[in-house]
Amino acid sequence: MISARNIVKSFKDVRAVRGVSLEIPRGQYIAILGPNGAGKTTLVEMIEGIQKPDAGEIRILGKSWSTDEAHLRRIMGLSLQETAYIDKLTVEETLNLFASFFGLGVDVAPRILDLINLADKRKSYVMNLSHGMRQRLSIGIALINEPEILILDEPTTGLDPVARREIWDILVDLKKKKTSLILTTHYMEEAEYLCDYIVIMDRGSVVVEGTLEELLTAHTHREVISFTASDRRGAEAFSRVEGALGLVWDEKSNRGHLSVRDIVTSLPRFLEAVEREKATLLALECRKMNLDDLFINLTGRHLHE
Amino acid sequence: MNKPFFNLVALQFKEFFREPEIIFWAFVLPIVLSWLLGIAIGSGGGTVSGRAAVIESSEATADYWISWIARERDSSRGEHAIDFPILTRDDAIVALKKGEISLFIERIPGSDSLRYFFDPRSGEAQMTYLTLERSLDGARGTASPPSEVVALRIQGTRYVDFLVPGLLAMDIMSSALWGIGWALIEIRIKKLLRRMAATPMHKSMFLASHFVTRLIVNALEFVALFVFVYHQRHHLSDDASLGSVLQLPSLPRVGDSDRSEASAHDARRFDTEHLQRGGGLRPGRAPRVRAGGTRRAFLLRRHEAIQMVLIDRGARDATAGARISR
Repeated sequence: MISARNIVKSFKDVRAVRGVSLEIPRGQYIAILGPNGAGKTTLVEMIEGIQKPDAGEIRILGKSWSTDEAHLRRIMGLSLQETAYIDKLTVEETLNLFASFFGLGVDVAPRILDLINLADKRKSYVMNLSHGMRQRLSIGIALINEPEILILDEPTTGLDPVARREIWDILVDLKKKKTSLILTTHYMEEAEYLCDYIVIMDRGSVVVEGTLEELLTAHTHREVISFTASDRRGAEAFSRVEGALGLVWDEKSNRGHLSVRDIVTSLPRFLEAVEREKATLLALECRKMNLDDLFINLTGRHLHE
Repeated sequence: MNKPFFNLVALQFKEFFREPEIIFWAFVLPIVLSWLLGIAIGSGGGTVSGRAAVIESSEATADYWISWIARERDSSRGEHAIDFPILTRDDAIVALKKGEISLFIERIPGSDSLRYFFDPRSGEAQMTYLTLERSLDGARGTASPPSEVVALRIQGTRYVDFLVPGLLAMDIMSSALWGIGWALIEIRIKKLLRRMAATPMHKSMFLASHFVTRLIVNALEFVALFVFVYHQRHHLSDDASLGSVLQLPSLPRVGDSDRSEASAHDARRFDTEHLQRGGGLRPGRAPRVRAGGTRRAFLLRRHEAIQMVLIDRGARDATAGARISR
């Protein structure tokens, strides 16, 4: 349904997107995952037709922005990162304003208010809404034209777990309506919970993509020894422990992330190395690799850096 | 060298110059604006403030007068460049009403002295009068009889008459500039503009909405200011200052030519009647100066006019005082 080929976009001093290709089938929930500055927003804004790629081609349902803008605007709903709506307008007035842009009447607002669970706030000024409520309003505006394609750019960033869960509930409900969703996030659990297909980006490129199962089966034969030390001492020795596949060391927090083939074999060797190097461990955890660990392995960085 | 004060000052300059649009708003716009205003206000050419019409006269004028005008015309380097259009009396009155000249002069028939016609409430006219008188004082012999001043009352020549329409224009300009400009910048900063552009909303409709809103707001502002000025006209001055502005396009024309200039007395009476009939011009009310216990309505001697000027301005200048006593 959405196909992007070799998309490149640079700004003055940043190569924001470096040749990304994506194929997104209809009716799926897609998460684009990555740390800040990975190029998620730039990529998504090019799909939304807000920015033009320097090179590459984007087609949505076989149409392109240069020839079918009016049509694409009607079938797409979107929520940008950090949009501030008009402070002194009420929630209902804001919805009516955007409904009018789509040629829709005032009858749409009550349905949207129910959907985003803001019916009791419909007379409140936007300035008096909490951050979570504003994000829900933003999603409500995105849903106003019953879009075939919904694109949400970091809808839950900075929200507390309760507010985040409220947004997830809205999105899970929408799934029944066969809406397609592209969601950017830097929360792994959000991608796991909501989405069928996951694209992990870092520094303008796609690092890995696939369904949740694909990603997990491809990588879960690995296991992880995650630890926190008092200093860097012994790091060299740890990376040479029997069965070790790679060590990612975070200088700031002195956190080590050692992926191994098999914990049962590697853990005793690891502990021996700790004793031999006179390193001090503050925390130690062993587990099967999850998406967070996968990201660290693929990029050498933590997702929330 | 990392002082908080220095950093705070630097911060503001950085904030300023790192926003490239600012260069346009802060530097280019004022220059363009003052250029445009210069064209608008300066139209008509010359310094309006220094225009004194000379009434055509078939009589030969005294030598000093002709030579002085010639000299003054040649050198516009004087501290007051005064332009002397030669007009008929009727044209001079119309020009006075329109504010094209600030006073007009005629020679008192049968004498070398001058008669000035102006509205003493106009600072500009007073200035022109005083400048002319000073220059002429040096040019003619002390034996000449003194000049006469006829105080007229003309609507729309005072500073406030210039001020109110100016304020109105300024108001509309700034409200349009900031009302639209700033509103757009603000919703752009909020990224709302981007969000709206991502809907099927027509961009032309968006701009038109700002335009129409400003039009309505400006109309309301105009009415409010108009009503205020209209009600305050007796406080601001004796005449409706805005009213006089609105009268401009339909100035009554003073057209009678059945005058004779037999004597100063006749001329004076003619002035009174003639000007009264003309509507826009009225003979001056008695100044707050008493001469010999009687209030003299129309014709003032020169020193009386100067006294009036001083009283109006509240000045107590010793040199001027000396001139009065002369």
